[in-house]
Amino acid sequence: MITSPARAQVVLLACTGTCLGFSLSRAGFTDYAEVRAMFTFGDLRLFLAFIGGVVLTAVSLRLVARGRPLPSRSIHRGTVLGGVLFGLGWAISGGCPAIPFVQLGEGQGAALITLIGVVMGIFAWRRLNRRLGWQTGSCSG
Amino acid sequence: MSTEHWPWWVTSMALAGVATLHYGALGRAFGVSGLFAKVLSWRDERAACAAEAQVADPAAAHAAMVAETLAMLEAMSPEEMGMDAEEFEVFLQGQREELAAAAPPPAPAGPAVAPRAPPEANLVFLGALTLGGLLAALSTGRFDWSWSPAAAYGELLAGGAVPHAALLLGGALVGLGTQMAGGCSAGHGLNGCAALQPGSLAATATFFGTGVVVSLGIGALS
Repeated sequence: MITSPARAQVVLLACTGTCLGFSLSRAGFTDYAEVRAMFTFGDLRLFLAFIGGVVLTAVSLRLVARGRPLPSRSIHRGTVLGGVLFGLGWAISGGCPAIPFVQLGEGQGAALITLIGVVMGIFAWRRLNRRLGWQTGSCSG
Repeated sequence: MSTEHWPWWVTSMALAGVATLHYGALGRAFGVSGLFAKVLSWRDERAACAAEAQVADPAAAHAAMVAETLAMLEAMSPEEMGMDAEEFEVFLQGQREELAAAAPPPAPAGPAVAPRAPPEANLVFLGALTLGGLLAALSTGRFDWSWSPAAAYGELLAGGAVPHAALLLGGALVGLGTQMAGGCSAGHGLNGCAALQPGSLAATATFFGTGVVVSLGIGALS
């Protein structure tokens, strides 16, 4: 795959993006009432879905790894504080970073406001981290 | 709307399927917050892609270096090297043979990790999320364009501009928090936890825990 041109990556990311968007929508992760029911333990369906997804991914990543490195993420200064801010934002807006894109596809126009917020938050972190200089380790794409 | 949602185990399989497809094809796990940030730093990503492409192909980098060295030698005059014309020609020939014989460094062994995705591929991924949502809504007959926040959202907060302000604030906290933590529910939650990474387990426990506390708090207030 190392010789795969940029176009192959575009096709693959289009594929995984569509599958992820479709799944998040069908699962109910884009429905504020459902996410709220998850966080208030009113309905454990999404919690179970997430935990089941982690367990299955843990098995399948190792099956397809064939010697390649699995994600490596250590605890750093931003882990807990960032987690608190993200959890707060998720509970308020009902969305992790992928959700507003999917909501727009469903016709939830207000997700545009959430998206603007996310972009503002990312730029705010860049400004702030120019002073802090924290190494947060980033997700690959 | 809630009646049409998948049972938990179907969602589990779908999430694991997406994560596995991505990792299996590219050799790296996907993360939405990181990918989002990369789209926003388009120019830096372009430069990083170009730099990585050179490193990723050792044979091409070696060939380029050989050609450059030869060109530099040939551009020199015999006087500079302290040789007469004939000696210089012999020297050049020797250098050509030596460089041609030098083996290029071997390509890294084992299954390959794909090079950094170009920024346009990341943008396509974000657009594809919207397409996926559209397909899901159309296939279940619940596509309905509306500018107002979801009914459940409006009920929880006072009307007027409050829900919109909350969406903007919540979104900004999501952007700030995921960048600070170095991942979101995909990068940390799904992939990092699946790989049993301490940073991901700590981040995921924190953001889920905070989500629970805040949601219960909002419920108690309203």
